[in-house]
Amino acid sequence: MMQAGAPTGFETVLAPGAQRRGYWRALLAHRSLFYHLAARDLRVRYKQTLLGLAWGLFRPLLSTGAFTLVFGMLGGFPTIGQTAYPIVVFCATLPWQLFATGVLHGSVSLTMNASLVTRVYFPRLLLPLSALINGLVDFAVGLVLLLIVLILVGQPPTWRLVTIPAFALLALTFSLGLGLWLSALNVRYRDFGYLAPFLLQLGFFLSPVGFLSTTVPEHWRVAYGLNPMVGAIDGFRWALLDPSGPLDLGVLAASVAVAIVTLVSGLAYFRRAELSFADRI
Amino acid sequence: MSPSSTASPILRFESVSKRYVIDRSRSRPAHSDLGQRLLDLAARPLRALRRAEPPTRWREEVWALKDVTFEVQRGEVFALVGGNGAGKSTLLKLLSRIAEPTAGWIGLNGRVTSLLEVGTGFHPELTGRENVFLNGAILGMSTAEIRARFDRIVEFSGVERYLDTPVKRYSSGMYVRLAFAIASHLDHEIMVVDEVLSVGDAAFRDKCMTRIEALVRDEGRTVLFVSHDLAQVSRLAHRALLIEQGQVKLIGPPATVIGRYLEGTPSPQRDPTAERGPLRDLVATSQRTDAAGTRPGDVRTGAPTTFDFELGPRDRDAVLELRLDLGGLRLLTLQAPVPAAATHARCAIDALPLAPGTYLATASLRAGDQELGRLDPARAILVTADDAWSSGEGPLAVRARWDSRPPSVAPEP
Repeated sequence: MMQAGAPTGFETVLAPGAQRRGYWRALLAHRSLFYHLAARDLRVRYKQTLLGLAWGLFRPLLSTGAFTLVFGMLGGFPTIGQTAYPIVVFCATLPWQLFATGVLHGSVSLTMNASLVTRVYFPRLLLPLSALINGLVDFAVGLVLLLIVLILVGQPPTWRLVTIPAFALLALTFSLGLGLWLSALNVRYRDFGYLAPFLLQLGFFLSPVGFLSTTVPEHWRVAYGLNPMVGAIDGFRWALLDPSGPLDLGVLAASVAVAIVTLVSGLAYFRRAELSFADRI
Repeated sequence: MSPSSTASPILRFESVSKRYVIDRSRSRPAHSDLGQRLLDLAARPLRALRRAEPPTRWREEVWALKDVTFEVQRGEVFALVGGNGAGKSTLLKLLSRIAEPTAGWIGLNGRVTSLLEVGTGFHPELTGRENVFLNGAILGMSTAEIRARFDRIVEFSGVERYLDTPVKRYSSGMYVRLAFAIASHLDHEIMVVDEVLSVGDAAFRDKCMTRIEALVRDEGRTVLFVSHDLAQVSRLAHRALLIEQGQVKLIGPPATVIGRYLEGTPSPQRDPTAERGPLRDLVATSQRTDAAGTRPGDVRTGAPTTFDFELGPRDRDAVLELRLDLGGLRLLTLQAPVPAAATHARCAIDALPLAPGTYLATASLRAGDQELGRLDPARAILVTADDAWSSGEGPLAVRARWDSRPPSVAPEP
């Protein structure tokens, strides 16, 4: 006979709130799914294309060309030491592209996989997380190209090169944080799916991609660093381009702090909304 | 086959309830066209203003499941029977963790695979091979587990030759076969099957059913399934649960549960698309000679009985097959060719050899291997007693003559 009461004698118990408690363990258990989701995105991207991986370089090179043209006509290139302006810009497009691709794919990662979300259980965090991988491959290709160019122009990178992963991590942290917010909000209000590209476009011009953050007046610089991409881009230029000025630690601290706050709050919001994704999507 | 009652159940629902809150203020379409998008865009500032006002929306609570309690034993095939919106899908959703119960708990002693996910996550651009690995991972297999089963999956699906072709070039049959092959090769202890067996051709459906039966028989898997095909329920299930408006009405042998379900739905809720299909309706009627008169749907033991089929347009000659089942046991199969032009067909039986009870009539119209149509849903045939015929236990009724003789005075050799 069945008696009510506490569940005993079962390996798994599904009850209100159970999924929140076993969350991180479940995430670890699904790591093979993370790998396959990321591999799917990468494979699909380059199926039936002639240029394949070269497409990843297309946008950074295009924006570099555009900035060079515009600033060339205006007549004033900001430069770092003797590094040519196009290299200064291209160096900044690397972290920007890594960040933007993650946000763009991340914001629609749940809605694009609606059939998965409504039919299969897995920690939903895997979707915005695996969206980050899209940008990583482009980033790696771009970085290799930049290193080759730097060696060719006789300015090989110094020991600072080893700090690149840290600045890439800063860009990824902010990217995932925004991706979590936007993907979860996009489930309820599709407006956020349309909003992401606008935000990114705005951010692209507000971030120091086509210019140097030193253009910003001294006393505004830390406030400017509240955009985490300022810290990431400054970091990339400091690490790769020689000789460049000292790294502004105040700016970097502001950037890191905002990136972490975005990630933590995004994670909290995402997890709160997660259980209703299947019903609302 | 019958599981031991002392062993702990593999699955238990205890007072499980699920509440949904319907938010009326947000009934906007999920997908909108570009024009709508632009309008939306233009109206966005306006909407933002309106949102700033105190919300005047109203909410409605719906209990999709209310206080559901049942147990399933290891190795059992358990069917969920109920009309549309009765709560079957919600129940399966809770079981596969897509949603969490609002109250109560579900205990599991094993991993759950859902065949309701057949083909979920298949990506059209990826090849068959790539999709096997992706889909396997989605269903919870590790890469090593998938690799170990890969050959068997491919063999079962029968798509070896197209493994390196993107699945967007597959026929829908190949697609479903590959998907089912992956899902049915997981070694999770509990399998949840939701209506998947209604896709694919008749031969493939049969192969799927055989596969499920084999998994239960040989590997002791437990199966929970939902199907509108009541004949399938009575063929596969050991026990069944009748659910209505989110509440359990009856748990018992499939025949009993199906009978109760069909009694509760006097006018069978027909699939509106079936009305236009090649096999539209079936009515069984017994001829009466007494004062009561003949009434369509009134069926009596031993009476001359006709089964009248209403047929829809077809483009070729076909074979019409009528089957009568009782609790998974096929009692009778009758078939005859019908020309393409026929709009009605009648099967007449001189004396219906069925004892009083509820039987399930299914029918299909085939041309060669291809099924042109079938009766959906199956019809219940309620056979009532006739004074002239008495029958004891068992589903058959025959007119028998008995002789009894006094002690033999037979000549001895």
